Amino acid sequence: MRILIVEDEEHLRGQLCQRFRAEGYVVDSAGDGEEGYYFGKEYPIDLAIVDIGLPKRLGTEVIKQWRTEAIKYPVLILTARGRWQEKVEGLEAGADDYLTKPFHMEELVARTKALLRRSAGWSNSVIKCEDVELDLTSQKVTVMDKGVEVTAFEYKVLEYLMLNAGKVISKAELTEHIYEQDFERDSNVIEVFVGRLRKKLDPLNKKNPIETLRGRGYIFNLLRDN
Amino acid sequence: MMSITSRLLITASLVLTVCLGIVGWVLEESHREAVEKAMKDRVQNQLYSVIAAIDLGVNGRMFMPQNLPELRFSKPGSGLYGNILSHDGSQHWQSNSALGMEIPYLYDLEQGDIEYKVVRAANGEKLLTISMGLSWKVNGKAEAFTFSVAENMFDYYQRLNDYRKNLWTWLFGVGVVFLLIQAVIIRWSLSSLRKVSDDLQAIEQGNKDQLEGLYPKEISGLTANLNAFIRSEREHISRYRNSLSDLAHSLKTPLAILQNEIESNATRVVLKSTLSDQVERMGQLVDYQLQKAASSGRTILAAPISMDTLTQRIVNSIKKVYVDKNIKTFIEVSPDAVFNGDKGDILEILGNVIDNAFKWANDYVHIEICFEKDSGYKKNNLNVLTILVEDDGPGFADVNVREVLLRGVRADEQVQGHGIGLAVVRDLVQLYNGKLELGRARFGGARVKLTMFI
Repeated sequence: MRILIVEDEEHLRGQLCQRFRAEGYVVDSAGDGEEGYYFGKEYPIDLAIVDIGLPKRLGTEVIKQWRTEAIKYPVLILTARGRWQEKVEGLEAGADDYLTKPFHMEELVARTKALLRRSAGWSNSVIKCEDVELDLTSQKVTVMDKGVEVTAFEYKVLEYLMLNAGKVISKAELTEHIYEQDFERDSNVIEVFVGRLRKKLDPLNKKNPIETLRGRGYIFNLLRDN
Repeated sequence: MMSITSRLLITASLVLTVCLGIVGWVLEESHREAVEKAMKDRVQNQLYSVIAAIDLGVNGRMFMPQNLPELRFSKPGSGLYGNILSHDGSQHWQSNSALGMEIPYLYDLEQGDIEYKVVRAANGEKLLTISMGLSWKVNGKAEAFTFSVAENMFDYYQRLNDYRKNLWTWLFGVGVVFLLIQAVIIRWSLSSLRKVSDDLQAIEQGNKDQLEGLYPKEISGLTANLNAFIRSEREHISRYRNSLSDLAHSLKTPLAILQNEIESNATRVVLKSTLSDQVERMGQLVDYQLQKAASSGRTILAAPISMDTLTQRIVNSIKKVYVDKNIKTFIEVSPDAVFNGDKGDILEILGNVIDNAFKWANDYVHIEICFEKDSGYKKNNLNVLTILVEDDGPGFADVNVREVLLRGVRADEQVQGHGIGLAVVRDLVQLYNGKLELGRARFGGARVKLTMFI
């Protein structure tokens, strides 16, 4: 999952980036409204966290502009001014949730996860496709009610595929959303991860949970439960 | 800029000058006509008297007696002259008074014609002449004559001048009296405005609290608004001052705790936990005081805000945040419900109350907003706005209700807990002479009722 953080206060921006990277997200960050707007428009972002009081361009304006350009991913606003007037203006501009400063990092992470899950059409933080279960909060994977150990990268791949279950995901899209830097991208590595995941999710090799569509990408094939 | 007094006086004098000028001109004209007519009548009578004085001589010849009944015809230079000319212009007779005078009379008038003419005699005298054509039988043969009488116009001009002088003196006097009265009226009317300005100056210097006394109804609206404005500004200032001192004082306790902790030999873990507790507490204090200071209170000059649209906006925004809970809302807002005050305040009130309801509700949130116009409450013509928000959540435990209200009284005594929303709402509602009531909803959850007099 790729997250954009637009915050002008350098120290806080650093803390946010560090925390979200530790959670396994790919993080892009910008220090002003102009840059933030540009990143949000050009990068394959899954969610943006935007401060309202930004230099060069206000957060609400940036969000409004994205929305008029049909950019649909969820946006969470951070505001130092806790008045409802600002919250309502932010939400009306197109944001999906808000958090007032000072905030607890745990709460921000939880809200971010909920927004990502919601935008993929899941209503619960434990997402289930047939007998594969993924707990987005604890990042645990269960197959047929038994815990399965996955590595951090395997989890990233599985989370992205499962959140978008039923949709064809190209290899390029998958790499963009789980790798920070271009030079890290190597499609062979992805194939290795997918191969390992197949074995872990389907030890009896019966269901083919992750199907490879030649030249097009992957599709998570198990049916959504909730 | 020109003062109101001079504007009124200048216009009044212009209008007066034009009106009195027209009146004067009309009066003068009609008087002149009357005098002229009187003079014409007089000379005509003199003409008839001359004609009547003719004696008949031999063969019907005209013969004028030596002395006419009007003595002025006999006295030279008297200003009244008689004359008879033949049709060829030769003089037949002239009165003694006209001796030595050359007056250009008419002489070729037809029988029965009468003509008036203003002429100038050779000596410069201005005369009004009346001439009449008559034919007279002499020796059985009709002969045409022109009978004329001339009168000096000195008297005529004299009368006109006298009248004119008199008339304009009076009109001028009347004008001056009118203007004086007008000036007195203006002074009297504007004295209330002067009083307002004096009072404002006194307020500025701190000698007075507000505009006092009775004002005429034209400006009582203005003074009432000014008073309300002054009052609300004063309330703002005192609120800012209170918030600032509240904030400073309330921060002293956590600061003292931290100070003690630094000086003690507490372990790193204990220090960290104390620090985190106190930072959290200070954050809440700052939040609470900030919201309190930002609230603006009743502003009588604000445009009314429609509650219907506003409620919809807030509910739509909050629904976005709680989309997972899939909450059903029932909203009833009287279409005429308006809020006369600061938009930020009402957004804060509704935002906090509705957000709380969404936070705790299981399935339903019910919002009802009623509006009662000019209910005659305390004879202040205030409208009553009632906001009722209910949810089907766990509701307030009795202890909670007390705590929520206590929190508003002394924010620095606030114990660990979530949210300061209702305390802020309570403070805001009080700014609008209102009250906050907490209770149990019809379907079990929390019920928040706000009544505001605005």
